[in-house]
Amino acid sequence: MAFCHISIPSIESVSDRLHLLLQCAIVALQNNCLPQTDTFLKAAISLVPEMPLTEEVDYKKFSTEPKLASLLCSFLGLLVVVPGSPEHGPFYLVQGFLNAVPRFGWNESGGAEVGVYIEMLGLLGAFAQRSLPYHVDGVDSNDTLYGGSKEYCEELDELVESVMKLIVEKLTKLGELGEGGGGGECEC
Amino acid sequence: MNVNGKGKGKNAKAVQSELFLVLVNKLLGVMEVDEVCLKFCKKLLTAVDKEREKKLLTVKVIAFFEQTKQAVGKYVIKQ
Repeated sequence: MAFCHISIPSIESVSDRLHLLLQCAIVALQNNCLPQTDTFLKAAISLVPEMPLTEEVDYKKFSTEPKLASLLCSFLGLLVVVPGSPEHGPFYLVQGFLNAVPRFGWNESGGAEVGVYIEMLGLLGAFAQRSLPYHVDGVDSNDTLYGGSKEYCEELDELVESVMKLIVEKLTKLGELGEGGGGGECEC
Repeated sequence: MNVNGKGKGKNAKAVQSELFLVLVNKLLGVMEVDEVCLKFCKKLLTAVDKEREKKLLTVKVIAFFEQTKQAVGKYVIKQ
């Protein structure tokens, strides 16, 4: 893991770095190395805004959005079992993720960013369950640590509300882009 | 989707409709489907239906729409 910490930043491709950091976080979590998991995940979050908008493959430019969206969805899947911090609360990584995602230059008419937020509802739905859909041996996840406490549920409700607001906002904007600001808005 | 951020207009409306359907399916899957949630899903479906009438949707999205409509319909029957 120490080798990965040192060598991953030297890789040129940001998407490769992001992918490897996620893999490292999974390995660290499976080996019950929670501080290392946190470090890898924080490093991955900080890479999101650094992702270039396009990448060149065989002299052709491709948008990195689909790749990033896919990596972010994997990230969300991992966050289900990553325990919160005693200092910063159960959702500090989710909050960090939410802060980092808009900092990438998403194409507003593409809808990939909204797709990520919609996937996030799945994660938040999982957090709302008394028992999480999966666990890692030896790792106490948020369901064990917080046991559906009142504060936990309130914080989760606030998160769901803010994500839903983001989704509606982005979808309305998308509707305005089509037909130059005409109908089709999300009147929710 | 264009890498330069182009491809707006009709494309954006089609993308919006598809995302409406994705959202409805996600809500049905993860949320407690109560009256408010159902009302919200129906509103989204109505918006997609409008786009379908304007023939802005692809065959794939129309099929997705029909499938989603059926899923929402099942919840109405349960209530």
